[in-house]
Amino acid sequence: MNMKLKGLGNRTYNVLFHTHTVSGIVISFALFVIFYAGAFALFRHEIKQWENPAFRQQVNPSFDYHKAIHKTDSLYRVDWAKPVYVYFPEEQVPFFRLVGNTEEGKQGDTTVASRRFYAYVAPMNYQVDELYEKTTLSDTLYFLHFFQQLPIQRGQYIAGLVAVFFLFATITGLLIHWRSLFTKFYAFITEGSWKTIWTNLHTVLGVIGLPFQIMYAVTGAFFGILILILAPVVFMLYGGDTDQVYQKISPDLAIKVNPEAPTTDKNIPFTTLYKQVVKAYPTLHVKRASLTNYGKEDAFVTWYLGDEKGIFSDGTAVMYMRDGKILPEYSITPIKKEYSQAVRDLIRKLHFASFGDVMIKVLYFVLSMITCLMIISGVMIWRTARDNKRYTLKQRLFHHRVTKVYLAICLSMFPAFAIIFLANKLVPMSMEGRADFVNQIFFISWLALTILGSFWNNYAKLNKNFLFLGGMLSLIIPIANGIVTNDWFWQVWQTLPRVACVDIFWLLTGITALVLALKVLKVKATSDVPTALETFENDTKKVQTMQVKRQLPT
Amino acid sequence: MPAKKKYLSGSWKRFSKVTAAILGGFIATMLLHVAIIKRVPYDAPALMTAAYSSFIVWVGFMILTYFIHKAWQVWCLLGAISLMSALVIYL
Repeated sequence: MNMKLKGLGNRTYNVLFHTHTVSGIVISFALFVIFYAGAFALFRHEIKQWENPAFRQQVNPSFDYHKAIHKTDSLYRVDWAKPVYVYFPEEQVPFFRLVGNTEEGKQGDTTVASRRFYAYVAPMNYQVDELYEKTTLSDTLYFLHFFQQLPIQRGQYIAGLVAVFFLFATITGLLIHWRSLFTKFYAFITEGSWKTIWTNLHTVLGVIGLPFQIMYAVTGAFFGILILILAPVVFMLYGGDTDQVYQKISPDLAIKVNPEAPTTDKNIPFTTLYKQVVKAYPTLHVKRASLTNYGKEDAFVTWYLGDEKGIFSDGTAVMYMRDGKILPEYSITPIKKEYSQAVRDLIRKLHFASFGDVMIKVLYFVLSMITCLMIISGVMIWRTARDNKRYTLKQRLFHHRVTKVYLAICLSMFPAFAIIFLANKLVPMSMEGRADFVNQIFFISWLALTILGSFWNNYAKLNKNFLFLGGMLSLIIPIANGIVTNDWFWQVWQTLPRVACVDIFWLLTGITALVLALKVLKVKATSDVPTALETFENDTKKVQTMQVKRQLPT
Repeated sequence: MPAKKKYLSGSWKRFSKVTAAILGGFIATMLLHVAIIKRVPYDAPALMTAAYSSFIVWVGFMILTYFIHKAWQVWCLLGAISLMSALVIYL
């Protein structure tokens, strides 16, 4: 049976091959960081209990939301004219959370500027804290996956552009391997020269991960640089009025409130409304709500409904607090919503794996790691294919340095991630400004490890050293958590399964990394620094074989 | 393995093609989408489709650029698409 598809012509093949190489190499650094950090960020909410022991308590079933809102208001002087988001307690974060802006006020002669606050209200004693100042581990990894920590503040634009060129590289990759697409499904060959091994790894993993990668390229571009698409549309069709566009997606934005509206105590209490909504949507969770003009006559609430299973199950219910009647014209009804209202939620669900429960996240994690491996093997092909006499020694030294720094940045992420998990446990909770300190430890050790890695001129040794270091650090993580919080994973796997899962994940990762580093990987004592090649004859033969291979692609 | 040099363009043509692919492709994509959003009876579904299809069409134009041999032909094609779309938008 002929398994070959019709391929490209010679010229197009070579041109597309070149664009694939160039676009791939340019984005490879950033793309690796995006997928590696993104894979961990998938479990952003699941690791919250691990990162902060304060979350390891029961949800209070008779929690008084009204009391919590009032207490927060009296502490922060909340600006109710802008929407304040409240998050309901759930098993992974049993605190009631409020996110909003404080009112601009006067303290003596100085004006106090309005600021954003993240208040956490404790389930039992209603104590209000900004726990965000204590620990940001999961958010640090989440922000890293779109470079939010870069000084330009808008790292998401870089991530979005990387996503567009990732789509370009993926499609050109698909086109140049089109002829041998079927065989690439099962070409798990680990024999032959290094170039063949890297090529097989790159193409097989690329084909297996193709739908996943295309999905992430498109949804990643959507979250990163949607503004690039929306801006021309808004200016050409809606006279620069962004509200018109946003109201099509979130109809509740069309509700206008009067900041001068008189305060009233006739509104239905928040807790009553909450119970009413929970009863109206028995199959869905009420995850969060936004409150506008709370306590005033025109106060309204948008309830955000959804679950972690369905792909169209997200929606909203909007109501005025004076009567508690759901306003269908401002709401997005789950499942029955219109196409234009479903698109954003669908993209969000696909991107954040918030459907099909936790198994989808595990699958996404594995596919992200496969993608990371595909990116690395792509760089290795680039370098291996250029390590011959057709390039000058100077060029080859340049290729070597790029590859080395690239590998140092990417492979040191494993030990650096283990370090931030460790730092999260070892820096005392009572320390002032500890979250920033933990983040500094993470970024400085990542930088230090990258610099250290740049001194190792043998790629296999670099890989082995980082695996060994990461593996050792990984094994300490569950021990550190056990000693610091006294929640050993074999004791709490039933009561705090998420905490135990993080510990077990690092334990298994550590063992695997050590076995790989010490038993599997064979490191020869050679250097990968290019030297002048032996004979010209030898090299011409190499080039000839290469050309033959090209004409008969495997 | 690296692409054969004889098939690749010189530096000026290469610059022209990269610009055509990224910038020309983007302008053509956006004008095409704006034209469609403006002319379909309901703008909301078209707008939300544009939020993701723009990226796909943009990359499509980028790749198309490299299928066409001559840089001026690429500019002509993308220019024609942009001009037609602009006519649909403003007439």
